[in-house]
Amino acid sequence: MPETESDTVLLDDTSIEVETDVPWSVIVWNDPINLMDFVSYVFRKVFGYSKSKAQKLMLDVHEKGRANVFNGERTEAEMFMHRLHGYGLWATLEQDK
Amino acid sequence: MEPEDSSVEHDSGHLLIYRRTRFGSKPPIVVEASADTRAALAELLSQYDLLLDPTLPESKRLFPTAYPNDPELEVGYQVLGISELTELKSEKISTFRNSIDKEELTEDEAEAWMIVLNDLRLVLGTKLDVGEDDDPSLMTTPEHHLYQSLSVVVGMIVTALAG
Repeated sequence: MPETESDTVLLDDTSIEVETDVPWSVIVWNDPINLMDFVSYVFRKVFGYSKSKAQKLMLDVHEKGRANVFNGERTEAEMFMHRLHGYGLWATLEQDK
Repeated sequence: MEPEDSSVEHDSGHLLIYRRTRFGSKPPIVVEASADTRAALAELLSQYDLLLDPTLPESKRLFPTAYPNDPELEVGYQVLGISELTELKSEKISTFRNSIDKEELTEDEAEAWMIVLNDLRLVLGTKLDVGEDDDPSLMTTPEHHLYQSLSVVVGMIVTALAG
């Protein structure tokens, strides 16, 4: 049944597209070494965040153990994670569920 | 993360880094340091050179895992990302080395100082297994003193850059 096959193909394509469109998150993990002011400075410098937003994210990292500091497509997220690694922050990438 | 603790005495020699107070355009960042201190910084840089090999266990903290949940993507990142990171860190150390005798630093130079000295803190702190609640009075070895001195210096540069 061609129509059904076509529908199936479309559904499959759609599901694949949705999968690849799921955004990625840059996660920064707490560590006992990096200074709190240093981490805030890096968030402002890398993402251009305001002082208050950078401070809030830094406190999230410190108190909750991790913070999601950026969401977006993988290439951009990887670029930001790479810059954070350049500053010595412990950052990883994970795809949102 | 570690809050800055100005209540602890650190033997970091004569070294002050701060942004000069001046009206108008953004003033430069000043380095006041004795010749001995600058020589000590140069010696530290030679040790940092050795850490730019990502295969060394001591260097692992400088080259973190990027995709802990995806081994395939991690392999790709290790191939390209790590070599770019090594190149970036080499550039920072060159900038630091070329400005080590300067009395005023540009923003880029101050950032290079901060990144290199903080990387040394990361390696040393990992080796010493530093924790957030460690009692500073128990950090008595020469390596602990170096770690604390680096903390003070990095804190000064962050304050100057953020100002």
